[in-house]
Amino acid sequence: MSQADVEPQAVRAAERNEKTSIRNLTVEQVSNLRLLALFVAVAAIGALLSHGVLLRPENLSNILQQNAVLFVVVLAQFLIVVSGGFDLSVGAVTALASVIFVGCIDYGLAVSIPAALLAGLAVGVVNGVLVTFVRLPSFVVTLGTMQIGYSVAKMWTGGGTIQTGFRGATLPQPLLRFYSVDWLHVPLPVWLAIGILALTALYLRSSIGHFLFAVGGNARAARLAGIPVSRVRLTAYAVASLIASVGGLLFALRVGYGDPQAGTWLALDSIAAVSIGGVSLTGGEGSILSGFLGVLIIAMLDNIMNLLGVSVNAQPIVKGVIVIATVYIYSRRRS
Amino acid sequence: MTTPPLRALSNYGQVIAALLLFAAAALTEPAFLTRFNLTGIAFQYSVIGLIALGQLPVILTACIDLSQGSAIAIAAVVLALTAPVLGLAGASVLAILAGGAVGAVNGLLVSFTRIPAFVVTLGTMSVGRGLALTLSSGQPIPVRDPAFMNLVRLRFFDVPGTFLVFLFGAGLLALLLAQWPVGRAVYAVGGHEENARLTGLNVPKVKILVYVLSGLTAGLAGVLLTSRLGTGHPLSGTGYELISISAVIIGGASLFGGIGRVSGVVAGVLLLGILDSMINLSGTSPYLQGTIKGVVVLAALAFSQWNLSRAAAR
Amino acid sequence: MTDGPVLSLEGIDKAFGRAQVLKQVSCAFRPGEVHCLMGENGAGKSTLIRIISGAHRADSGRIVFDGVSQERYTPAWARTHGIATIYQELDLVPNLNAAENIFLGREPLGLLGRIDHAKRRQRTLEILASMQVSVDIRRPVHELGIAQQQMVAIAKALTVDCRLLILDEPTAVFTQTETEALFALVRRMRARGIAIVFISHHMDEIFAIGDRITVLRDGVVASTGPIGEYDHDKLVRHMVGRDIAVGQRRTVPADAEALLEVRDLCDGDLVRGVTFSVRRGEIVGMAGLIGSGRTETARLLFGAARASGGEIRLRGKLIAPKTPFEAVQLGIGMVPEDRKLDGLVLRRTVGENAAYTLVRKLSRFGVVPWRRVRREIAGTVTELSVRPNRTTALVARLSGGNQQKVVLGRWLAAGVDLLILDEPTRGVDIGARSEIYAVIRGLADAGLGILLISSDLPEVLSQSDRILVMTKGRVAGEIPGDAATEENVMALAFGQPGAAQRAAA
Repeated sequence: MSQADVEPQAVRAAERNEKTSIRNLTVEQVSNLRLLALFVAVAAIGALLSHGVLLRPENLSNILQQNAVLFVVVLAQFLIVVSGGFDLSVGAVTALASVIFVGCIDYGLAVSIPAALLAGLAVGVVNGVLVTFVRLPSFVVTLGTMQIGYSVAKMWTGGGTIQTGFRGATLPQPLLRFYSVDWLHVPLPVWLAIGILALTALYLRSSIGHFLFAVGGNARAARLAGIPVSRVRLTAYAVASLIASVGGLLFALRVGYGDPQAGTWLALDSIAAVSIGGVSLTGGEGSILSGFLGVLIIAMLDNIMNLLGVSVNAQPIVKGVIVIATVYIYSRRRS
Repeated sequence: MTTPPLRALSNYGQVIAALLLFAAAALTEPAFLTRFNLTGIAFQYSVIGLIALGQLPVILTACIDLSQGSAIAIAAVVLALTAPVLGLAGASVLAILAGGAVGAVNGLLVSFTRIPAFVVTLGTMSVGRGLALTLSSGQPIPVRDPAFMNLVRLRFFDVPGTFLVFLFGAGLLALLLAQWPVGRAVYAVGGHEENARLTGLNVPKVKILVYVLSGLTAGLAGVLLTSRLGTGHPLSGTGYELISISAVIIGGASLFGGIGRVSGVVAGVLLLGILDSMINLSGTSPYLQGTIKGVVVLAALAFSQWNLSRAAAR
Repeated sequence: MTDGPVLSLEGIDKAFGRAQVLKQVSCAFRPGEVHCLMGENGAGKSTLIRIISGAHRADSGRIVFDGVSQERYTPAWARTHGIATIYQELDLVPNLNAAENIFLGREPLGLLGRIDHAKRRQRTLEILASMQVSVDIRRPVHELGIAQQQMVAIAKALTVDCRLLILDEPTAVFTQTETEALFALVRRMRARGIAIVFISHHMDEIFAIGDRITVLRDGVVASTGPIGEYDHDKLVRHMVGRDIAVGQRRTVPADAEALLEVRDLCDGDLVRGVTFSVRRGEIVGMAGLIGSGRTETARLLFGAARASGGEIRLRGKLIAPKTPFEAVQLGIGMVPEDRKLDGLVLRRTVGENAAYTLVRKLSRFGVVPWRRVRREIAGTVTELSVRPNRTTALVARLSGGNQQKVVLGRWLAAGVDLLILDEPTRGVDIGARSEIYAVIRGLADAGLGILLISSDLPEVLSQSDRILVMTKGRVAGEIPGDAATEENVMALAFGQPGAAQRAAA
């Protein structure tokens, strides 16, 4: 790794920050001005084009609510990207968790929620063990577990969606209102996403989470600094899948059923979001809030295109171009 | 030093595994060796096999192509849209070239920007699907020409034509990789890109070439799928790139580049096809497929990793 | 072919930044002559061969090829004119076999542009036969031994009409037989009128193969002449002779508590029975040639590699660290040789890099007292006078010396008992050097045991209380700091125990 690999932006950001706060030692500062500028520009142009509809509170609230699952899942993807890998299994974990959550609902929430989370955790541990100890590339490992996760979910439901548990119980009514209730004008699922964000930030401030940046940045140096590299990686994969399974719970609450096809787009969208957020795809760098901002930008773009009446069919074109363009810009900045 | 028979066993392990699985299927499932069953597998896995052949050189150069499925859809839509104007032959050629164009874009971006191949092709996957949807307005476009639709059902000595196309393509690729300088260049770029460059190889040219080839095979796959369905479907080929990558990995290729052979890929495709058919015939949940494929991919990878570390220890 | 030199350098200067690496260097390479380049690490040998191969451009001076001064001297020009360099990093593609590598990009073609396999095979065998070496040309080269790979790289160089062949420490990892095979080849090439530049640290090799010697010292030609004019002592005298500012050395009483005792430590061919001890408060220098097993020994002590035999005792207790994580737990720290690759996470900050061990030490059940970590690290950074004195600066932005202080700071904070330093001042400027020496001495005074591995002889001589010299995987001898001179250390390192005993006596 040469000096050229290091982001001058981050250097300037770090040096601008003369006041040394504790966070400087733990998580990257979100002083990525370009990202904020991009965000503001998208919001401003969107507001102009949509005659202000974009920024109306009810529209904003809608955007947030519709993307709550992605907000959660991007946190999972963030952890794996920081560790220097990719996680293609996040969507499958989401689907599997949504199915198990609904499928076990007759035993009560006290059973079905932990069951769904445990399933996610199990996938994460498998990913982590294969990446850490068998030393397989994360891309293929999670490609494999993705197939397995979807397939188990489909076997559980027989292929379709699942509305009830074994004995016919459905999700309790009060829970289904979870998505339609606001608190301080912000929908509850978004509060949940923010809560998970806070917990993830806490994890990144624990010793094992803090070391993730070192392991992703330079695993050899991390090992020789006495950091337990395997343990750090394995934990990251487990935590990531656990977070993704929370996304599955949210999904089920939103639609009222479990769906083995849920989240087929999540893996790609979450990778797109972290790359738009400027998280280095080579690992070791990035702020968790920029992943969040990345989702917001994607979500606003979707919304603007809808408001402008851009065909749903053309939206993937815009998304694809933006992913390539942003990564191109970030990669040039680094050189 | 490995003795010759052992070496052959490790080189052609996938082929042997495919043959064994074929025998097992034939013995345990009476319906397996029927014409109906074999034809079904042969068609579906010929299409997958073609794009797996396209994926192999890309992976040999330590890159990846996630846009194959979208290139299939573009080809299918282009074919269906232009057939009334150009005639089916001309439209088919144009469709295959459209696939190649997707590959050219990938190759140029991978060679001349510092964006990782994974991200480039993830982006073009999204763009390509969007283009196919936009061109077709999201609707399947019928291609109602009996001659065209029969094309894919042609048989020679009772062997489906598409399967022969796949085998022919495999033979061609194997020859190209083994007998022409460009084949050595592909292996060299994947084996050690920097040293390949120092030796004077034109690395960007090699990468563009493998991506164009991958796009062309996807274009051909799109034409075949359209012929089979009688429509150009903008959602055709969804997820095919992951199956082709799986087939290449099961075939013993290394994602780090430089290692992999055509025979392995053919065997990997057949393994997936036979497994698929066995699951269907056995009457268990068809959804078990994903689990089995996932496990097979991971096992194949773990096995090749184990092989590599053993070779390194020697 | 004339008898004049193939290539001659005249008055070459080269500086990197403020460091003048080569000063007015002149030498000529004649056909059919093996020209040995000698000099300590950092004397300028690698820069010189990079200028010959075209990889670096001289600041001033002339490069004359076949009697004609070349203005535009590029790597491509050098290659096409038969100047081939075999670096220690070979330019082979590991998954291809010998024939494929030798003709990569220049395959003999047959019908329809097809590779003519038979011809390629035949020409490969011809080249290998002319070199009188046998290589299995069907195996991918990564399956061949390192010596065989080198033969393939040389064969690749010989496919173009080779005029000048540069061999950069070709024998560093060779066995005796492999070295002899290489020498036989070099002699045959010499007989064919090829000019050969041979770089080695092993004196016996120089005397076995060389026709002419040029000794570099601090970037100037210290001496040059036919091999017959030299003997071991004269060579050593020319190579050494730099000023040495001796640090405050002290003799640790022999009855002081032994912190580390190593006995018969083994690992493959590189470490073959190493025995030594380090006492509390003592700086033990470890000198030796590259490839003598010093770094490998350090990695065994630190759990970065697994020993195949022998025992390690720390504070009298038998230990066998399996990972660096365990070694740190036991109280061992290491500053690795390659700062950028193994020492630092370049894309993170100074504070983070210095705090990894402290975070580990202070956290309880994963909870990190960040306020305290921050305060202590800010203290460490100030204490070491890291510039810029800011924990939030990106570590990649620092100079080599300041980066090294960050790595040292990590172990200062960790509270280890034994600190292994592998080339702690490589690429560090003079000012930061003395600061680092002061820190090391301070740590020793605080009761740590220090194992100082260095290829910089003046450094070992000036800083160590006791010096171990390693050769070929063993400790060849031990010299008290006061009695050590460049001559007796070098003599031991080159494998002449007699000379060392004379000097030590």
